[in-house]
Amino acid sequence: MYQLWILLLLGGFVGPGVRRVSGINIYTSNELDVVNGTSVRLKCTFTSTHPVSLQSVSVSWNFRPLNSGQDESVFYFQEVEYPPKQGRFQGHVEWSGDVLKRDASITLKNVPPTFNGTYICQVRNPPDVHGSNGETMLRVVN
Amino acid sequence: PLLSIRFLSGTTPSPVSSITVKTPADLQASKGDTVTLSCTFISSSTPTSKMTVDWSYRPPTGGPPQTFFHFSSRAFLPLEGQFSGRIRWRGTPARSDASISLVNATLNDNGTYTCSVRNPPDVHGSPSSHTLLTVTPKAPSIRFSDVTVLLVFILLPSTIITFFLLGRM
Repeated sequence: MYQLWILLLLGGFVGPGVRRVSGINIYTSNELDVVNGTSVRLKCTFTSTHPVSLQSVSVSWNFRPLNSGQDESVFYFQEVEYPPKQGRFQGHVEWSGDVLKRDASITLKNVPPTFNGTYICQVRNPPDVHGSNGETMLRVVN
Repeated sequence: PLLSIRFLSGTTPSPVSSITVKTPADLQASKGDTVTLSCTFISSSTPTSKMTVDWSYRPPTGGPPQTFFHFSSRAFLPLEGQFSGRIRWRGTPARSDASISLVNATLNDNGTYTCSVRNPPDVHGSPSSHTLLTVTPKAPSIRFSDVTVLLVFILLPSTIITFFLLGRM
């Protein structure tokens, strides 16, 4: 009888631990400083409970300026790279990630002061599509 | 013969390979309503199976937006959290519509909803748009029960009229 209680007690610890939370976890630096005119790598890594392949993953980088609420598109990756063809980021962004290695990083080159703001890294790997995005606050210093 | 002058209207050159997403700036709803979060997009390419739609939510207190809905080939509805079981896909990619609806709106649903659409190669431009949703409590309405309605509007007048007619006999 006494052994049964012990078994039930231990069983209670196993149950809750098994629950698997589906979703993407995205990891980015909180803040980064970059010297005016130089390059900086915006690191973004992710974990997914589902298999990762070139066909399944999509990576979206957006920029939120300090004062305005309107997001701008910085870079997109889905099987191939889609660098920006217009706007302030044209010619300034390079893909430096490797989705198979769970890396969705990009590099900003020749950074001007107008790049001050928040960079949002969003990764989707269906069916792992829900969750928070990673945000990095970039500060351009002299 | 009349010369037909055909001139091209001076439109600003639209950037190649860009997408523009539009949502209403504000939306109002009452508690318990089904709210349609409308989102339309203009893409130079026809929607393909690579098209993705993301809806994310940021509460009034701020913080990073949380994606609760995703569409790529099929709708991925939220299975846990605040919106679990309350989202319906109402979009038709072929008609440039990426709308969703939120059923049984609660006061906790106040906040900013962002619709993002990417249709490779149309992935840059204005791929996101925000809507600020305000949910207010339903104004209390005076409701009469069926019995009360019967009593006040039918039985009472009939009784009065009956007595009146009896009195006149």
